[in-house]
Amino acid sequence: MISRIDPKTRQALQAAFAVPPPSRKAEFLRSLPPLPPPAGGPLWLVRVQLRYIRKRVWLAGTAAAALFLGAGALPGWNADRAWALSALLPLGLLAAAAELGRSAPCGMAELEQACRYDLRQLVLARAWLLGLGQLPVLAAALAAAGPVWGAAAALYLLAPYLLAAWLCLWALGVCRGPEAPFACAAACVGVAVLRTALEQAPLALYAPPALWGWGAAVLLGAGLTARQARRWLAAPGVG
Amino acid sequence: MDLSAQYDKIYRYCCFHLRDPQLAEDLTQETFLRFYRQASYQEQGKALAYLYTIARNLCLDAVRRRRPEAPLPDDHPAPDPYAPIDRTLALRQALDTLPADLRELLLLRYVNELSVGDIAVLTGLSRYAVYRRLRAGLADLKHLLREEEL
Repeated sequence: MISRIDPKTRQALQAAFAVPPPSRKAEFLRSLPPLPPPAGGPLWLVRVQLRYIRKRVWLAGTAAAALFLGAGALPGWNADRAWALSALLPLGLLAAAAELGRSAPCGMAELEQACRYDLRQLVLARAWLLGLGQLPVLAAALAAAGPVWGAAAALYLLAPYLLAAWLCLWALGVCRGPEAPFACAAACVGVAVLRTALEQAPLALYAPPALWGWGAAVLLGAGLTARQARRWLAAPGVG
Repeated sequence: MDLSAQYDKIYRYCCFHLRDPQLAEDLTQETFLRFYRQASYQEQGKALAYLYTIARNLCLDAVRRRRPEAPLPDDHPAPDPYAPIDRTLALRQALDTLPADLRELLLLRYVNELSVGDIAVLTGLSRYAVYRRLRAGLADLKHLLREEEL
């Protein structure tokens, strides 16, 4: 490509293009404020949010996925035990949901509002990453429950999960500040308890006609979660 | 970005176009002020190219505003006292025979140490065209200097 030039030629070129020193440089540079930090594109924003999300969140997700896979590999794993996954899955969501609302308890929401990127863009990038991090957890739960329940496993697992997601987003919207993670915890634990109670109730939860109910619960959960997510993002000072 | 180093380089670049150190310093400061005002340029890797683009446009406007009959100041800038005088003079004479756009490329690449990518953005040329012209410019310079030695 470009022919390299020897240092002497480079020096000679620099001498040939030499100019008298500037006379007002120091004064002018003293008057300038510091340069604002450069803004990157969307990938830069995602990378920044990736660094922002604490390692414990990823560890919690990995631990949950490992727990579910381990449970599925236990001898004697059957439908009588598999329902526990359905109850535990909302707890796997807890770390991610609490992290989503981390800015407010740490007092960073206002600071993030002053950043080059819109606060909602920051939170969306964060939510996207946290959501991606939940996929292995869901996949592990499905892998453990699938052999027991078949294709219906997705419905049995997603129904309480989406209900917990909806309640967490609602809690993040209502309880801004240091109470937000505790509100998410209460939501997740509440759903887990409800699921456990359902299992103990004399209901034909796994009969074929019940699949319609599970399907409706999944659709309702997905719709409510999506609506709550939009409301939460649209609210001022989100995060 | 090291503002102090870039100030010197932009000032040198303006001197190259205007041959008037006072005016060059005025336009250098105007360049930085406009650079600060436009925050939207600041994407990764684009800041330098934008800085030079502002400087270039200001210099070209200043040159156009000059009255056509007024000659350009003929005084060459002070040479580096530590460089061999005959070599610097010979190189300067050789540079004067090259087209202005080629001199500009040599200044940007080997004196101001701008990347080929940034030069391409500034001049509107492709990277390959910048490589090709720089290579041709160096070859011409070497040929001219060899003729001088003879």
